[in-house]
Amino acid sequence: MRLGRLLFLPIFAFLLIFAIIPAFGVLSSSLTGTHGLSFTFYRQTFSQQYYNAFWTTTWLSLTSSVLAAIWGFVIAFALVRTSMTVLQRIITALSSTMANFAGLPLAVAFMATLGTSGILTLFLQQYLHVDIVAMGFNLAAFSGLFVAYLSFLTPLAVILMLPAVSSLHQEWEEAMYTLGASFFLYLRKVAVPVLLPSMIGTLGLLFANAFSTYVTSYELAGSSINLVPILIGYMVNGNVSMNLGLGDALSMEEMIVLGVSISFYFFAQRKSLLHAREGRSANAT
Amino acid sequence: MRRKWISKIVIFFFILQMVIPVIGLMIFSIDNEGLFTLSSYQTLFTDPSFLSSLMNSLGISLVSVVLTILLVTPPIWYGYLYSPRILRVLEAMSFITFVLPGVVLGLAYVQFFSNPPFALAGTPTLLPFAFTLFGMPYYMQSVLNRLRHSEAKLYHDVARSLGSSNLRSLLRVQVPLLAPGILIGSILVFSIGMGEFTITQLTTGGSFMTLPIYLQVDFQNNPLAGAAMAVIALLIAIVLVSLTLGTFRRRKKRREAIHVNHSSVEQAV
Repeated sequence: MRLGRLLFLPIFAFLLIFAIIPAFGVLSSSLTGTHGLSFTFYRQTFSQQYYNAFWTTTWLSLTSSVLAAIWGFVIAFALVRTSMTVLQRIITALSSTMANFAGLPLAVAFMATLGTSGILTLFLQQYLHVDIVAMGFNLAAFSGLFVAYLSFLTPLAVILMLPAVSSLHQEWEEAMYTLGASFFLYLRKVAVPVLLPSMIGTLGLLFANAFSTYVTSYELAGSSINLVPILIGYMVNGNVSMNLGLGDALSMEEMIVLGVSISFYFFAQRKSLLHAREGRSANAT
Repeated sequence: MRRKWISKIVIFFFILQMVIPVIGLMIFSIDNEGLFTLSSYQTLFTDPSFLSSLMNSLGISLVSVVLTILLVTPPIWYGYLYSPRILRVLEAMSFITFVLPGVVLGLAYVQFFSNPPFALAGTPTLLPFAFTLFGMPYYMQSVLNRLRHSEAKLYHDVARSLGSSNLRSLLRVQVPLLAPGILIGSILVFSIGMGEFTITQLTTGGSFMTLPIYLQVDFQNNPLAGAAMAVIALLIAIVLVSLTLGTFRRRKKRREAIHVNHSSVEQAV
């Protein structure tokens, strides 16, 4: 039966060649200057332009993922309460379709809808006399990316939150009401504390997702906004300056940010797993 | 009663949020200064480079699916049955893709695969491997879910105790048992392959036309045709999602059927 372990050989070789060794290649060339070990590239990433890029990316990701997490929580909460299976099925289908639709087609959809000559922009102008462009909305800037990010982060938040939210027991809520509590007291004392691990985990995953978004921002804004993934892409693709070492240093820093925010997700998942186990053993006794 | 009403309003706004860009896109693709037109779709389907990029995308996605099935299924199955510890290592390693987004992996590939032993950058050869890597965590979870819910080990042991060979049990019992999980995982990998843009652009420099690359170029030159193309991408997404959900629903029914119909194992042996 030991022979069966050979089945693991191809997949570990695959991971080594196509993920781990290239990743270490990025690490080593980010640390290699003209004369061996050097931190030149990292020093460059702390210059104004790249510092600003990290700041903008973080701010955009944080605001959009926090709003998406709260909004996703509200939707999941509402969904569980409607108890209409048809509606729930529609939402699940809709959420997964949007998750598949994300990326380039979604960016194109946004340009067709909210661009300067987009359908909704023109509609608002002609029929409601609301000029969103004059109001400062620009699809190629922070405001536009924020709206676009929300439209793929929200369905993701709903998918991630739904299992946790539907594990809230109806009896807890009823017990609270019997004892004279209000809905908001129930939220504050029971629902939110119970769901906190999964909310933090969802937030970590959404943040990482937003932070590493390249296609949507590339198509909508291109070089007109200073974001880390776009800058890395330009290091490979740009005809102006091909600076792979600097791209490597930026990539390492991005990987650290992603690693930290993803670890929130895994930590929270383990926590809620332990929670579930404790609950089960408590029920058994 | 009032709260149900609020819930419905919340859901209504969520649906609105999801649907508005889609409706905008659809109107945009058939709007010719207020008049209805399908010319953008016509241009698209008569454009030979659209058809060749469609073929490229389908081809590369299918190759990725086959690669994923062959590479990932056997170790997961074996690991679940006999070496859970190695499986856990593999599962943890598959999540490496979450810290290796498209741009970073693209940058890494361009550097690592440009030197003679593996001079693959600039050709589409790398793409199926990249898509397999991206799809791996999803594929693994979908097959593992199936394994967890189907008592695969029990069936394997029963089949062998009734005198079946390992290989026979594998082909006649285990593969049909895992088929729904493999199918859902494959659809997920396939849809990653159909929509991937970043790695394709960075490693081939746009020389290999896939649907997303074509869409990106086309929307710049001819927004109408680009919008029509995005509508087609949406239709592909809808088909793939309904396939997964359909399989999912049937799977539930079949799970019950498997529990009832133990004799099917004996027949297979």
